[in-house]
Amino acid sequence: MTAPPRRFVRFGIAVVVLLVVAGGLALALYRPTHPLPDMPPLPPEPPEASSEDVHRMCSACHAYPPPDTFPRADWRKEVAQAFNFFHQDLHYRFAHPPLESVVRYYEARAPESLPFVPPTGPTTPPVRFDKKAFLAPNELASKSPGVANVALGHLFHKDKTDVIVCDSLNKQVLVFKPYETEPEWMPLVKGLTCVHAEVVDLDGDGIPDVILACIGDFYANDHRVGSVVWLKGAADGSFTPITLIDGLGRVADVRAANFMGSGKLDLVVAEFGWHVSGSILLLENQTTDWSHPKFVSHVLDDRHGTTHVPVADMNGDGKPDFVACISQEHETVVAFINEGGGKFKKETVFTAPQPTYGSNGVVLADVNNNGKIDVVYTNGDSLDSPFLLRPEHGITWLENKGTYPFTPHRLADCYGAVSPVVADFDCNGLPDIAFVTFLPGDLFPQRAELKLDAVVLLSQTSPGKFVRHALETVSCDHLTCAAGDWSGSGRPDLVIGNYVKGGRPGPIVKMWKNLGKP
Amino acid sequence: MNVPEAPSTETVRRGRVWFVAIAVVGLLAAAAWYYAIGPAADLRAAAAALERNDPAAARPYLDRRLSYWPSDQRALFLAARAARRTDHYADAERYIVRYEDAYGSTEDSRLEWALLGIQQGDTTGDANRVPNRIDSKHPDFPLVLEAGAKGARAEFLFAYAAKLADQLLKLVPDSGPAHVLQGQLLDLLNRPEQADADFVAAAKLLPHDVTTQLVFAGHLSRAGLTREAIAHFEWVLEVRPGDPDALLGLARALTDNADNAGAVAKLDELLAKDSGNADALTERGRIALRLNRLTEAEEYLVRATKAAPWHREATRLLLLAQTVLNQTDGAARTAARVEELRAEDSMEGRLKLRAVNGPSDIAVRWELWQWAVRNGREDEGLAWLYEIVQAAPKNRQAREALAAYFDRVGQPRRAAAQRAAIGGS
Repeated sequence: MTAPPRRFVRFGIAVVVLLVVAGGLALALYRPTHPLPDMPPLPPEPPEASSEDVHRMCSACHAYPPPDTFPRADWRKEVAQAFNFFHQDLHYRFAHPPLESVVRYYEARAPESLPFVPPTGPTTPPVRFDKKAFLAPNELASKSPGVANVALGHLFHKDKTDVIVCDSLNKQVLVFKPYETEPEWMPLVKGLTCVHAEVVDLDGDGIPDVILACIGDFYANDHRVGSVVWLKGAADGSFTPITLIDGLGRVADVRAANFMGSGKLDLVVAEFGWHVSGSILLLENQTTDWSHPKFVSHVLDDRHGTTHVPVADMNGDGKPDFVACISQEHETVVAFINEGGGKFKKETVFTAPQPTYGSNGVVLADVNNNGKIDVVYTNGDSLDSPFLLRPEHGITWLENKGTYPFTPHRLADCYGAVSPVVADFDCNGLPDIAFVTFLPGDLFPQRAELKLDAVVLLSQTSPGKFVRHALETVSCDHLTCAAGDWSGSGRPDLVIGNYVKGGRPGPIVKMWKNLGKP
Repeated sequence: MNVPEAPSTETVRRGRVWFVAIAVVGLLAAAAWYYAIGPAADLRAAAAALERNDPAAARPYLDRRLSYWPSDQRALFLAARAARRTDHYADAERYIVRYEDAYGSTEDSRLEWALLGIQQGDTTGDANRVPNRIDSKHPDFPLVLEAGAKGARAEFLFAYAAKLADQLLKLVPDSGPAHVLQGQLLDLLNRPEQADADFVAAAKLLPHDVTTQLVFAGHLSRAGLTREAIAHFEWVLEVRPGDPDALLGLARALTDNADNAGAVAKLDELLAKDSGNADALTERGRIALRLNRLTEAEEYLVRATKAAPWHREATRLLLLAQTVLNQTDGAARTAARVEELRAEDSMEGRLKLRAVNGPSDIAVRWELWQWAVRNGREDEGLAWLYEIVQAAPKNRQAREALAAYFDRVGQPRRAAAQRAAIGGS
């Protein structure tokens, strides 16, 4: 074998070199994308904001939130949300500190976690209840219940009490007749997401009607899906739904009273809304022909977040007033004193110390039998993230001493407190207070281990002195309860609604018959 | 002094032969690279990118492969898939059409066409049904879930979409697009804390994907991680200079960082390219208002409301500016407009309630479509059109509206399919 000629060797070497060089170049140049840059450095960390700056910025929209109201880890989200609101509200125009510096301010002062408030623990309640639970009728029995409101009223007999149930999850309003031998459910209306019902005779025809607050969508948003619906009662016991106003933000409550002094029932509407929509409306009854009801809307307050607007004559002048529980960042209770002609004077009954207090309910009653209407107020809204057991949750008696604001008396700290009712359950001549709690199991799984209160009775043992009893624990699935003598025993009984989103089918209401003292 | 000897004629000739030979070999090698080895590598790289759920990375490889081999069957198919998975629907349709023009309808192309329809919320017509062979054990099943989740999102069925995305993530836990989708859905469902983990996972899985990093930057901004958001937005802008979403997001993050001058510079950069960008004009007006430059604010907000008469925030802020400026007439006009928009919102609420309570009410769905068009929310309106044609496949109004929409967005074949459904051509 002879060696290849030198020139072929040189040629081969040259080709190899050429291919290597060309390949290298091709690899370097033949890329569909250019090399990506490195992530740029973070902007410099600003110094902690001054207390003055934080107070100034926060107070532009609401009360200053103290650092101990959230655990350290949650403050960044809260500050980000606050900045979002701040950017939307330009009524206050001044330079603000960097978000990061406000976060640093709060994180430096916040606790690692919130303090724990123990539940009631074992006691002997001063009253016994015969507790029964009822499934919803027909196809609803196989669905998880979503009761947002239970109300008592006389729909079919003047001397017998019916239970009206708003199941907002299943979009039905039902009535239950507990006085019947075998009580049955009757649907009043289907397809409406209602969160409050009140029995009134709106058209004055002597037949009870029902006024419904329709939230439209139970979950928080600014869509104008709220409405007020009148269920017009007929002599044959049927009800016809008639929309009185719609296109509102989410409506949480509606109450009827002769506010305008015309002799007709006007309506006050809590348009909860969310962040943008929402107000308190007076619907002036200008109806002359009830086949075409006419209600004219007047905005009484443009704040969003009103949960309840119960009516009472707060100042004893014979004209109906109402009290608004305004939640969201406002966290205040305001009495709207009727000055006639559609004008109301606003008097602040109570303002919470911070903007995430969780106001969620008021009821009006003379708690201490002094002839003045007091307010019982709960703050236990558990549906804002982060979902925390908040130590400030609980119930407060706002005592009416004839001046505003009322005098607050904290009655109980209790997670998720909602729907206070006032009645003399133990029949000792002094009004007691009951309330329920809403801490959904999927958001608060610890409720079982901690045996958190679900139904609480505050028994007034002497004027202004209350003793707390947990009537039920763990099943904190209640947004609503009502007190009244539905059993005809002469004693106030309880009705408790169940709201178990995504849970297993279960009873829609619990009917607790008051059996008196043990 | 030595004078070099002149090369002989033979040496020169040999040198030329060498040169030509090397040049020919080099050219052949280059040609082989450019027309065979490189494109083959491109195809492999694209397929690998799609396999690892990085469709954005696949697209440039496929673009180049197709620039050399425009009728490459595999490349056309993958290009359609990559375009669809990155939500470039017009491109996806174009590739499917090119594919079928060249090779006819195949199982692959029919699946891709069906997934494109599903992903856009169009579940009407046989062509938009996933073939029965794609069961839960089929390797393409995750693609069906992904398209289904995006389609459910397009139809505003967020909870259902999140359920599908969850199922998808159980099958393909390292899918960046699936994490992005799930994060966005959880945000839409008001569960930002849960969304956080998905956005972080997506950003880690797709560190070089600009769209993912842009979404992540937005999430960081909303979560109050302003400095990190600024860095991510700036990175996106380095890779994709002038990106309008990145500029707007960066401006907002800079505002949070109290750097109003920086925010203004970014907004001005955006407005220099798109002077009618209503969101940028509104932000510009907002910053001017914050700085109490009321006349400047009013100018920007007037421009914003002209560019987008339905823009609620711009109108609301304009009213504030005009009120503070004591522009009585202007404020009265804007206040009237605010009321008109509120009435529009009320109408939307009423219509939506009617739609919920009347699942087969076609008239209300048509009204909702018209409302959406009137209020700058055409994409949302499509969901109502689809509900109409699901209930009444021959509904001419809805089909024509869908056809017109698809013509506008560069999807003529889908437009034609809508017309064909009512016997048009």
